[in-house]
Amino acid sequence: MLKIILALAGNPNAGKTTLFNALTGARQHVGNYPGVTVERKEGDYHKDDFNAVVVDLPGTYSLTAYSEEEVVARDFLANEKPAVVINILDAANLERNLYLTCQLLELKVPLVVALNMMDVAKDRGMEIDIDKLSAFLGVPVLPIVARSSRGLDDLMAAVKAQAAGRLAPPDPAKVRISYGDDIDQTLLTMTGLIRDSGLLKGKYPARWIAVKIVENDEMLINEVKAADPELGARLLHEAELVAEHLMQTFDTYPEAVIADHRYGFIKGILKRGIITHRYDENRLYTSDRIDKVLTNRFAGPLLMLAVLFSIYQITFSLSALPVSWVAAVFGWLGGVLDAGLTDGPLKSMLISGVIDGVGGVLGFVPLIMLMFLCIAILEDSGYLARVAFMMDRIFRIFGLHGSSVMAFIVSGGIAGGCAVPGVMAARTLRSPKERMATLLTVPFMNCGAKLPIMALLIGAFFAEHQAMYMFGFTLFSWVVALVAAKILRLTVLRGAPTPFVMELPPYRFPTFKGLLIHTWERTWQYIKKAGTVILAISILLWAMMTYPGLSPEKKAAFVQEKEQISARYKTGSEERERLLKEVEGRRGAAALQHSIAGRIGVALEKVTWLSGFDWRTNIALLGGFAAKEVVVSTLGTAYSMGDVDPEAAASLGQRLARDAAWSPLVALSALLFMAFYAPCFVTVVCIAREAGSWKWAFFSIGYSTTFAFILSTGVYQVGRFLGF
Amino acid sequence: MAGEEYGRNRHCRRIAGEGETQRPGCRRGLTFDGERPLTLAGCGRRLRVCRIDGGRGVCARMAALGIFPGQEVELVCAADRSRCLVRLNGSTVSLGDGAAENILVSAA
Repeated sequence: MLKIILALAGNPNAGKTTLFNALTGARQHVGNYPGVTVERKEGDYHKDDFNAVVVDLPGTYSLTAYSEEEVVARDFLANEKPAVVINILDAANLERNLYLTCQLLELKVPLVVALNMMDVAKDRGMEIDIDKLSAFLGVPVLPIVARSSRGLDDLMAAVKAQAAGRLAPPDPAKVRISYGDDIDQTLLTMTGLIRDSGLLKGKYPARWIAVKIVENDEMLINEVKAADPELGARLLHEAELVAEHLMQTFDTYPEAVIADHRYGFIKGILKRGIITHRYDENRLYTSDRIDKVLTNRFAGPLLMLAVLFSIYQITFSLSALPVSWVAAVFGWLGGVLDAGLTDGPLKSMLISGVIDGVGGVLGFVPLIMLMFLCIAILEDSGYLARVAFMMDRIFRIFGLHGSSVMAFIVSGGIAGGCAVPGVMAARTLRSPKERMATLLTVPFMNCGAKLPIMALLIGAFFAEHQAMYMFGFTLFSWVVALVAAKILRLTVLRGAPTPFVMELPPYRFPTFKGLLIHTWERTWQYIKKAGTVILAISILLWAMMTYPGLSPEKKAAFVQEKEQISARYKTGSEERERLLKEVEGRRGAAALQHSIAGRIGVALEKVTWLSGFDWRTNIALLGGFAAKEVVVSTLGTAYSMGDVDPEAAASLGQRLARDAAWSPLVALSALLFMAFYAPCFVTVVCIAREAGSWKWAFFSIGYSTTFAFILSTGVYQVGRFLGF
Repeated sequence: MAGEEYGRNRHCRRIAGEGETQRPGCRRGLTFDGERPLTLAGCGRRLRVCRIDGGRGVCARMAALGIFPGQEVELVCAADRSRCLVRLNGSTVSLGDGAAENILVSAA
């Protein structure tokens, strides 16, 4: 059965993603922040014999290429020609939402309008005459409440009819917006030229091309120039003439006139009895009253800090018990395998590679899940946008944009994010320099993968002040990232700042379903990563740490030593066991040092002794380039192989705390290095993709590792000097 | 001379529609008592957008957000004077100082 393509278009915060979830049941992220859906998202819709691929387009205010979201949405509509476009409107803010609808009508896409949040509009005392609106727009208009899935069946029935071509297209005369005599005349001339030449035919309607050229849409102008340079020049000339004329007579730009007439068209429709207000239109809504407090000059920042800090407290106190359960399960599994399998490479691989590697990472799932739940609450309630608003002044100082805060927060500004979506979130930034500065500095944030290492080391060495240390590290990562951004903006990325403009969505109660989807989706991504990449790397590292094995002579020497001990002491005596263990420990250490990883780690010791790292830490940090979580599993593997402590249940943290090579000072130095050195390779790949060149990706690796090494060396050496 | 001072850039402005007279305060070069950048307008007041400076892209982007000459907005008191929270048509838009100083308003 043929599947049709169905696109969801609408303003940010109009409820597009909520509708997408309701239609497809897909597990994916729904935010309350403008521009959170930069990526194209797809899901399947089935009902009876109607099958569709639903594509969630990024939220946009217009179809002019001012931001990447708008480019993405427009390209999709023009290139993939969806069978139906559902334009979702926020019923409580029809005027601005219809601005996009006007442009969709001009683009002549097969449209169905979904009027969302009818409940909110009703609460605000608005009555909307849906039939009239539908008659004026010439397309079906269906009332829905996406949050509670109300009205979806009727909506999809209309979509089905539209897809089947059973609906007549809107009367062109009725929905054609007049832009005033001057522009209309120019458009007429240009449309004629475009039609005659067949320019970009089948992709855009002729009049739409003309409007966009007059609007000075650079992307489209370039596209036209590439398709037909000669005609492009002529069309541009026409557009320039009308622009000059408007400048001389009205002292204004054509796009201002166009915007004005679009709103005129919208107001013309709405005035004809479509909306009736039962209350005063301008009264303060609850959301505005909340904002008076939450964005207050003095109370706002204090409340924000309190909110951020309470997230740590909640996360760490509630996660402690489940974390210990997961650790116990993996400890038990290791024990079962240890007893059930005969010694050999397979057993070693399963216990040291698989169980220690994956178990070490999965052990932190409860913690990460709680953290994501807190973030989802902030995002879905709309508070995160206020955080961005309040942060703008600070970000401006460091040469960034208020919208950068989203990238920073997603990357781990509230500990527990991930630099990969953070790098993606930087797409909402329009200025290339601010965007690049954001791309290069977000990996400094406290991402979720760094949390296990932090939890491990802080738990082992600074257990009394765990929450304080975690909070301190997050604040410090902000400082480092912001200062680095400032330095970048003053050196390699010099340039003037762009204006900050962002919509603050009204506060909404997050839905239980929404929170579950968001929390689970992010947690699942973490688990998937642990299950695939990390398992593979864990095994690879196990191999690197196992091969090449010790030479036969050395092996024989250890065997001989053990035999001598066995011969000298009585079987079962304490002394005999202790000595045997001691020999086995030395043998393991020698084998690891002899392996590939050991050799690299030992070689690096020549440099890393400056920051207090031995070869085991070096191996772990090398593994962290693959994914930061691997640092924990590698340390686990390195220690369980090099040290056959019978207390297998003892956690890695306790093991490190007992180790002579570790001290609180070394732990602090390692924490600092780990927090700021090269981002994991997944992030590096994303940076390369987003920045458009590998040069920036390598720059990112180089400058962050250098910085981290200098910082940790400084701390370690000063600490040593002070006698810690 | 607020109009001149902030009219350095080319700007966009509302054109009087049919049966409407051009608002005197929205013309470039004329001093009109009360026409001032949003950054200097009083909090909690209803204002009318007269003009948007700052070049073609800024003007059109603001229009897409619903801020265009002729539109009535309410300035919700922001956390400080350089960043503005503006309410219009039931939505709240926050503007950095760079964006807000390009928007010239007069009392509604």
